[in-house]
Amino acid sequence: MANLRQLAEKDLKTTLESDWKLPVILISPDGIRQTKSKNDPEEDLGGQVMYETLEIDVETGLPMVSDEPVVSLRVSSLDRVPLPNEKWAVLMPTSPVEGAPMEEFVLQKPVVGSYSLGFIRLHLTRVTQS
Amino acid sequence: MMVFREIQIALIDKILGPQATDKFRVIGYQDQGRSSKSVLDNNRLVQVYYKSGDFEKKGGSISSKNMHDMTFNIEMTVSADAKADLSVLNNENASQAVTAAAIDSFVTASQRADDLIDELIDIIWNILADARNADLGQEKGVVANRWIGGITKGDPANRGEHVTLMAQMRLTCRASEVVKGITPKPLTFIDNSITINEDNNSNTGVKIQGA
Repeated sequence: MANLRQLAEKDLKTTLESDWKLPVILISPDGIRQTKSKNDPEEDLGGQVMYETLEIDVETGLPMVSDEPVVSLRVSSLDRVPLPNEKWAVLMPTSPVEGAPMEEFVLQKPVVGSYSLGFIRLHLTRVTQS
Repeated sequence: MMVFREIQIALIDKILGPQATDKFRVIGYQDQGRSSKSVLDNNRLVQVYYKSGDFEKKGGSISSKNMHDMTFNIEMTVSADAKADLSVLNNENASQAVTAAAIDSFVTASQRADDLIDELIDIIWNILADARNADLGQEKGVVANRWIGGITKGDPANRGEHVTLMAQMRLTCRASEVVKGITPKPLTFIDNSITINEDNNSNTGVKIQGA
């Protein structure tokens, strides 16, 4: 019988990869693209995408909505897990609407992860053409 | 107007303004409401304003000159976003090596903001410290002791996809202020003449009988 941690990790398929899932493409520092889930090669890689984050403005102390997307991914679905200080590119839809074009993002902050619970959060920033 | 106001106007109109072109924008006040997009890349903003002044205590009569040690703040604000070669990232057929090189070459927003503010400090200092601008746009002899006292760079602040960064430069100089008075308003003419048109009853003055 699986223990609670294993069950919690399995539950991530429901919480991150079912109704709330949006497709995501990860490009590693080696230039390798991952478009499919490691758990199921038939399925697109994806997770939960929050397009804005709530932050505290350091100058005023007031909360503000920041245009900084956060993607939560199941660690077991990744071929390679992003580590702090690594440069990764992420392609994901510009909006939750079906058929929305993919937009390019890069990792902005170190990876925030709950490896013990099986998911990681990637804080992304938009990038423009150099 | 006082000399410090003339100097501020000259700093914007004669010294920094003509050099701005497509490298930065300059204004003469502290702009409270601005977005990170409005100061993105070469839209960097330079704010020039009179910050403080000191007067020697011994001066001050209405007819004598007052030495004014004035300080101007030159505030610089930039914002930047991250840059990468999107044509490679969007290309599914790009080779692994080319894609890896594109990812490795991307520049973070904070790094670009730092480069932009350093470049702006370089530009502004070179303009203000130029010997040809020693008189700060005034007639020779009006301004003395022109000096750029210090430069301070702030901390980067995240604004969504942008990072903003500010720096401050302190310009001091000395000039003589003369009390010119406030421009008077024209007086309203009050007609206080007394006109006696007729004296039908002979009631005014002294009547001399028989005269």
